[in-house]
Amino acid sequence: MIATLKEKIGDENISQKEIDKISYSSDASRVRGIADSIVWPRTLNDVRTVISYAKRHRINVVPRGAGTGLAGGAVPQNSIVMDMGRMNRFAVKDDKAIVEPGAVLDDINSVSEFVLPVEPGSHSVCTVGGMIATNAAGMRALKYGKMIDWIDELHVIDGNGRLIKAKGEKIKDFCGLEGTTGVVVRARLKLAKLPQKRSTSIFSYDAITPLVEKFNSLKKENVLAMEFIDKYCSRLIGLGDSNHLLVEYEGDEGSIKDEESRKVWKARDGLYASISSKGYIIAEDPQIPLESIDKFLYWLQKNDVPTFGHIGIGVVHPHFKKDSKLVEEMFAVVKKLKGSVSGEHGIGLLKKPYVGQEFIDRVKALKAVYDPNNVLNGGKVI
Amino acid sequence: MAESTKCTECGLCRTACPVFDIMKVETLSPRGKVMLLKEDVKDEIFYACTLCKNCTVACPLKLELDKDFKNHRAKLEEDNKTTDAYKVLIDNVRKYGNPFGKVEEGKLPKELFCC
Ligand SMILES: Cc1cc2nc3c(=O)[nH]c(=O)nc-3n(C[C@H](O)[C@H](O)[C@H](O)COP(=O)(O)OP(=O)(O)OC[C@H]3O[C@@H](n4cnc5c(N)ncnc54)[C@H](O)[C@@H]3O)c2cc1C
Repeated sequence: MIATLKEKIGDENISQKEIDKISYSSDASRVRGIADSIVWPRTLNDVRTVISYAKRHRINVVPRGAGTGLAGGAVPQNSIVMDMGRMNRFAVKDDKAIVEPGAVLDDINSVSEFVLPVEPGSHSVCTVGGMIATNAAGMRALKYGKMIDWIDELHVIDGNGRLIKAKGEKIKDFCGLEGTTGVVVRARLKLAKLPQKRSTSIFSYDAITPLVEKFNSLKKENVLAMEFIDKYCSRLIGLGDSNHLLVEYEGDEGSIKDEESRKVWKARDGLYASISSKGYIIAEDPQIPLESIDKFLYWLQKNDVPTFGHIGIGVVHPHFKKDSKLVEEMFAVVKKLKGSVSGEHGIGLLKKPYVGQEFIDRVKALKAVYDPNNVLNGGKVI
Repeated sequence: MAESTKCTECGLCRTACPVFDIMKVETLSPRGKVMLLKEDVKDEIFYACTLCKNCTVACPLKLELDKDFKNHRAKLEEDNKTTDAYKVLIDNVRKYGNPFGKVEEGKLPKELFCC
């Protein structure tokens, strides 16, 4: 069966080798799935060919970027894994970029003073397609928002094999839908200049209340990033035995500058892996209304849940051990505080049990239009 | 404990790996190889590593995965699952003291063998 696909997209762009099936069976969530085959499209037409083939043979297709997703969004379910890594060309002109989905964020940001300022901790490897599909946020979301704020236009191949050019409100039909409504094949993005002068301050507090008071009192205009790091995580990166607020300023208001400042943020980048290596392999990302963030942090502290995250936008990362009963309890608290299940990582496989009916209805309606045969990333999100 | 058992599979090693960087195939990335090690897969793919240690530099846990890959090559050797090129290379080193085989004075090697 697969021979016909080989003929169309080239032998070197498809594999059913056992070793490839194993390495593509998971993403950074470490949930294992089953890959039927792996394809590496090089053009929009290749993407369309694979989707048409999958539709005809009723096989599921999972688009995949760098596989750094933490919700299992790129984990195959007896699927064709479509690795977008070879569609990685991009062009930057002034404050605009045209990119293919497999382009890596740090590569795009290395060619000009204009950058895509949305910066997930995985910036050195994550792809722009994955960022669009998860509506990624990150460290500087307080100042620069989420991925959706930086998209001018998307080109997408939907589950019917149609090329859709989405602008304005239509972008929302794809951005954040984790590849369930279409495969992003090209995007026109806005870029910005990061301020030349940046500095950092670290504030430490034993208790949550003064930390949240400080957080509320900080002038938001010149603050680029604001990160919460609890006691457990602070110990892991050598900050000592308190809760910390890490603040990055535009200008030199912060006490730590240049190389020292970069070191602090690099340590923060490595936190996910450090916690995960201690057995806390489930990384959640609820978004809590800022007026209730103190209540949420108290709950996490009371239950000894290691946590860090982008407190500036109310997205924090509580970490749990496998099969922890606390996950369910936490989502009940999130609901009570009128928070949302995922602020940036997406729903994927892992957070499906916690999404609300309104979201399910919306996804079903979009699927009916863009992917009625459920070819794209089936079993995800809802 | 083997380094790969501590790997969290975050993928931050991907772009640091020169082999992955060219091929863009997960299986060739350090994380991909770790997944194969976890399943004890014996395959010549473990020779597609330059042992450059760039993955250690990029790894938030500073795991020295190259050590595991090298140890795994030893197991492949025991099971006679090495690559033909590798066999020739080792033979040449034993016979001529270099991986290229017999090289005449002032001449370039006729065949280059690398692992
Ligand atoms: C160490 C670490 C730190 C992280 N920090 C952050 C953070 O600060 N903020 C944040 O938001 N996330 C963070 N993440 C999560 C993850 O890196 C982001 O979600 C990232 O945007 C995923 O990009 P990717 O290329 O790895 O996508 P993948 O993991 O490969 O895919 C993610 C989802 O997008 C879909 N997809 C991929 N490409 C396409 C495409 N071309 N078209 C349609 N769908 C597609 C996949 O099917 C999947 O559902 C972090 C992860 C790690 C490991």
